[in-house]
Amino acid sequence: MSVLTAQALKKSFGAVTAAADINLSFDADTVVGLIGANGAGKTTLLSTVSGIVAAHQGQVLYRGKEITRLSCEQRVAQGIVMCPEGRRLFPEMTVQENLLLGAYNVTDKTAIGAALDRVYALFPRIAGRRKQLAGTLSGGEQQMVAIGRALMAAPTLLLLDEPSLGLAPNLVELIFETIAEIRKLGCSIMLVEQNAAMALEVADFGYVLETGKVTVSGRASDLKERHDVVEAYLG
Amino acid sequence: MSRATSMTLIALFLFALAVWAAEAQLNPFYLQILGLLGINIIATVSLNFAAGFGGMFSLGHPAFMALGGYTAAILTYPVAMKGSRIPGYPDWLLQLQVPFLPALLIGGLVASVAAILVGWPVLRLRGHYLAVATLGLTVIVQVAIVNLVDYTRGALGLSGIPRLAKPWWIGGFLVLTVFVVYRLVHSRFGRALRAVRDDYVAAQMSGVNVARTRLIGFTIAAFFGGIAGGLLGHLLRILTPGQFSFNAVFIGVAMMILGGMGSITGSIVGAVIMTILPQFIIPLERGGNILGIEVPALNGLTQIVTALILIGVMLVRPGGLAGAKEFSWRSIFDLPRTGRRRSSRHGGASVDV
Amino acid sequence: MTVFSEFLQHMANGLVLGFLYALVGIGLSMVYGILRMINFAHGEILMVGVFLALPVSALGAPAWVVLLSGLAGATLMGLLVQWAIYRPLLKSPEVTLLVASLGVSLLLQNLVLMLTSPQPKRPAPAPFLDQPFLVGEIVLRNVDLAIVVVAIVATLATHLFLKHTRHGRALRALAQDMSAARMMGVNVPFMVMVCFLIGSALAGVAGVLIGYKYGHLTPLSGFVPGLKGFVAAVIGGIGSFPGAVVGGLILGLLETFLVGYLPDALAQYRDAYVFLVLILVLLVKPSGLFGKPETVKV
Repeated sequence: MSVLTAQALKKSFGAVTAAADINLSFDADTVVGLIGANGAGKTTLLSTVSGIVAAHQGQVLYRGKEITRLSCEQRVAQGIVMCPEGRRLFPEMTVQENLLLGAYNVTDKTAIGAALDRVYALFPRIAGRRKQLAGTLSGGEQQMVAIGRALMAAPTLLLLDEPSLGLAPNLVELIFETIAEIRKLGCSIMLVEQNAAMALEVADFGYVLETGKVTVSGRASDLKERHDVVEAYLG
Repeated sequence: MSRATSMTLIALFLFALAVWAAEAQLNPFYLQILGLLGINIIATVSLNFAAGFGGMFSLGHPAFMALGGYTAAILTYPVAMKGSRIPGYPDWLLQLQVPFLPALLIGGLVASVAAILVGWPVLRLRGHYLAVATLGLTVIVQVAIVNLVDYTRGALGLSGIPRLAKPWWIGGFLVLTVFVVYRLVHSRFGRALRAVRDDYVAAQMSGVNVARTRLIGFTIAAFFGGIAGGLLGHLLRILTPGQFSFNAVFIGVAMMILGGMGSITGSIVGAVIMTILPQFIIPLERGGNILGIEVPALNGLTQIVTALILIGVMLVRPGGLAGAKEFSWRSIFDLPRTGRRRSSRHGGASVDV
Repeated sequence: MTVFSEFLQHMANGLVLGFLYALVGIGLSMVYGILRMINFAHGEILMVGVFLALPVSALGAPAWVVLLSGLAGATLMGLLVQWAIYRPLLKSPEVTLLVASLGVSLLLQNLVLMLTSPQPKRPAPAPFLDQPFLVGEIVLRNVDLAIVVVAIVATLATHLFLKHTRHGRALRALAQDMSAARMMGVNVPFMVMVCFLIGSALAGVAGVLIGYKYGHLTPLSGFVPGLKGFVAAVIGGIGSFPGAVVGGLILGLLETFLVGYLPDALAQYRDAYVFLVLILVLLVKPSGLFGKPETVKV
């Protein structure tokens, strides 16, 4: 069964059509990469899936159920969690507090404890900084906290928006290794990336977005070979 | 001349006729209400100039009205009473008695000076901070009036002001205020003011001196506010600090937002409604026998209605009755555009760069 | 009384007043932190709270019951106002919320005016609270001690809530980044309600304490404390909880010392001074002591 299906999704901001007519669908336990130029509509698509932004037209189906009308908070409860572009940590709260906020919807204390352990195991580097204010961390550490925070809610669909933005290459490697680990935890991932090469490396499927529409789609391994994709995004 | 101009002149003539007829025919009670109406229009239009067109939401207008009002009253106050009632002033002032027009204008000037002094630091503040700071101005001025008894007669109020605000004066200043504000709004300055309101960064990048534009707009509003205050004192023959308190702030804001911020027509409409409406409510406040029904005294009903209007407008139609639309002859008579093209275009919030 | 003990007396009085301002300021600060709106009606909620507690007091209830009724009354009023008027306007421009809160302020003042008799009211005398309380040469009453104790307890409780509960954390997160908080699944309307609940409860407590201390309650009694609570919040940095507390204490001390040491002729301008302080702070350091340098200036 498909974990996520978007049908004829449209979203405009005033006179600007960010998403013109988006159709995609993928199954559980997949990593899906969304690549495309700036302004192609990648973040808009993620935002409509996460519920931060409401689509004007079209449907979003999650595990077969329609969630188009659900609010952001309700979608989190369903297991769709967004890790936004630019990290968006709460700068005046500690690393631990940020992580705990990720588990806002979880009431079971033991589950929260287990989730914390999982995150610290995934990112040992931030385990030692749990009492530090999030605003004082380096870019890479912040990204780890951001992803960790998203994981605290035990998501089944994780939306990652530009996780490699502004990071040094070795950290980018680390992030993408982590993505592979996360998939092993039983979570599907929708990944938006400027770094198309990396995205297609870690993804199973890929979608290319141009001016609000999906222009190319297919298995990531195939996309890597395609002439037009290589020219435009991997050159 | 264009059709619109001739229509305006006809309207002015009719207005003058109405003022003359009112003065001749109406009894003093109704004349007083009309006088108050005119003053409220002046106050609201001037407030709207700063708040609606300039984006400076000021709760300090009553302070400028107070300054203008008391200044004008003190200047026209009969010398015979000055010494006993308001002895605090220096002798040369106590011996002085000034005719109405200069006194009014000086009152407006005093209000303007206060606006410049206060506005220069305070107008840098944003939105609600500006509102609270200007509210502070109202409080400070009111407290000062109450305590400087030798200069203002304090809380008792300055009574015995000569009744100089005849309908012609009020009508004349009303026309003047509306005319000046209208021309300013549609001038290059007005466009700059609205640009600052809408997007001050973009305005700066177009070469507009934001601070100076705001200050000028604020000061002009204060000037006419001071005039309104002066007219008020000479209509009611008494000025008290209570007239320029929080209540005045609320009513002023209500008049402005009911009509619609950013519309001169709206301010006039708002002022008319909020002046006439209380006249119907006040009898209810006193209670007693109304239309055969026994009604208990409902204290504060006018304010409650004002409050409900404030809240209601915000919930239902925040743009007010007129929104940002202005009255124009064209919309009524569907006149074709004749005459030369003017360089200044019709209202609206757009910016001509 | 020696100069030093007079100083200490002012200090004590100032701290008591300061704690009252802190209680009022916390609510204003928290609401601003999330909604970026100044709730002009906060003082009126305080006033409604204590007015609702008056009949309880008249029935002979002990002071702490009266306090709780004031808390409950104010909380209900605050929630009602938030639900009926501010919630629909959540996404409106600043000016709209500002005008609406002005309207609520005016409405509440006059509703209470209309429904009650014109004489100033006071809670039924609580002899225990009127007892003098002496610390060396400093003269206070038990009510002053009660104010300090209650304020400290309330502030501490709020602090613990904000720091150690998930809703408290969510509230703090909302003030820092509303969008990101929503992505965590935080339900914004619910949190706004919680915020108003806490702020109004504290205001209600302050109202009853004011009633016991000064005993001269009119429908206008909430307005000035509300404004001064706002000034306190600005001094400490609006949006900051510790800021509101510190700001309140500073304002209380400032006002008391000014009134205490200035000659009588100048002392009567006490309300004007508070506004002058506000304007000064807004011009010099608008973000206050603990606030973030947000764009207060245009």
